[in-house]
Amino acid sequence: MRKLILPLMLLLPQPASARVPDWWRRVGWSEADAERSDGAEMARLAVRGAVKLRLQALAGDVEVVPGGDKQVTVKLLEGDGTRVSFREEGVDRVELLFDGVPALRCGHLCVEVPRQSAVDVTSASGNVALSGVGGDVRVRSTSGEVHIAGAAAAEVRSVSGSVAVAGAGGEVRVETVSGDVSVATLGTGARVAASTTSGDVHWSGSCGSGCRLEARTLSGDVALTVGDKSSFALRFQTHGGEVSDDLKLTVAGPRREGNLMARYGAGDGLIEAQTFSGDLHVSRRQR
Amino acid sequence: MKCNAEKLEALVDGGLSPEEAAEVQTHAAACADCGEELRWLRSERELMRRRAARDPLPADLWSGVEARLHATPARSWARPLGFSTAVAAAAVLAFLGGRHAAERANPRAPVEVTQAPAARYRTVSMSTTDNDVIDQAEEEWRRAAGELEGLYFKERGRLRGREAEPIEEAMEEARRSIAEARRLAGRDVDARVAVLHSYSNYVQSLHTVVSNLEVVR
Repeated sequence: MRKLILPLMLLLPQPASARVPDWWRRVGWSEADAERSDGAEMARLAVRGAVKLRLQALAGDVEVVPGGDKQVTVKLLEGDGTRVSFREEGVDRVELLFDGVPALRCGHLCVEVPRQSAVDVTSASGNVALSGVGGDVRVRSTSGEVHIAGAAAAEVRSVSGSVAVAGAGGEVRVETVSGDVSVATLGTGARVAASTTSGDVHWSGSCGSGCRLEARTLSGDVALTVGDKSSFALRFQTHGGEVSDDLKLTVAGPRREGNLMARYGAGDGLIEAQTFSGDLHVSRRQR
Repeated sequence: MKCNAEKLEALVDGGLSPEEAAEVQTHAAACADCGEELRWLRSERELMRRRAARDPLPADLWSGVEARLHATPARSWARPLGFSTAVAAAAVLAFLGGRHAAERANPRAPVEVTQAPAARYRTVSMSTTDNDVIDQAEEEWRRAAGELEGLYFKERGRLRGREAEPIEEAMEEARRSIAEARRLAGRDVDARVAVLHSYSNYVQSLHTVVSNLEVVR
């Protein structure tokens, strides 16, 4: 129960070598692979600007990153000779086809899109990483890890893989069954809804005016790592969980078993945390 | 107006006033995203209607809940039954949200619920307890999951090599996780509603996998 996980990876400007997520290495996709073009299927599509990219995968890892402003570039490593092509619809909708079918079957796919593109990925198995695309993103995953960094709004539904979202500029909604959820937000007006059945939920950021954070898990823990600029009311509801508070919250309501109402600062934002058997951990974010 | 998935669903389900419906339709006609979502929702509802016609809901769907609850041992997840039941379960989820709100305002007020398309938009009065309703919803989700699992195993031959392994591991893990959550939740209404959301997530994921399988050779 106290298995608190979640080192929040990602984002923030980093050298290229540091941008390779751990799971890439685990699946054997190194930075060197990203630079190698021999043996990879490559395809390019000229576009007018930001696109709405749709991509489905039955198997295989998917990465989407920003690239040139006027093109979509696709590189498929270890694709067993799969041909990649595009299906365009309207002025900005692009779907990827693999041997003419809209479902990736194997390999490691890297897609470069113009910044501010919206991305919609459906993955049955395999990892998904969307880094810095800047538009709204939606990921539906059955198995495999999902990492999202630098999107606008993010909506993720996953069954068994863990989900990490960092640096989203808009609303973040994450739902998993057994995977852990980790969300890091910028600014003080975050809007996050994260729920999981048996995973843990970890949020890191500042919560002030306009902030609304919902974190729910049945058997996992909720961990809040709070920045100094925060000002929020906290409602915690649990059946059998406990609270550890390193932030020294001000208890703001009658203390009843299973319920905690507290405040930090002026109480501008609102954090609602709910567990059934899991614990709530509140701590200060280290500078 | 901006794209609003709830309004699109409500439009398809006949849950909007004529004015609201006109507004949403006008927006969807001009907005590619909403237009596509609306087409998808309509085709999905049509599929569900056809399946419901083939496998109609039992007449005692809402009335025999308690009897079935007490008589029902653990059921097999793989039992294939009507897919339309997922829609009814979704309606129950929506109902529960409204019911909680209504009970906060007036704990003894009778609550009306409008069922989803599978129930032909009938409006019925509900007098059962929350747990009874949740029992029914849970049963419907399990049926939906069972049907989709059945479809998956029917089509899994389209997968190559070891493609099925991670998918089936995820399915197994989800089933285990939901079963454990259900055991943990006992008769706690809030926890059970959370479990229903887990069923919903699992069923939607199964639907996605099965849909993907249908496009590959």
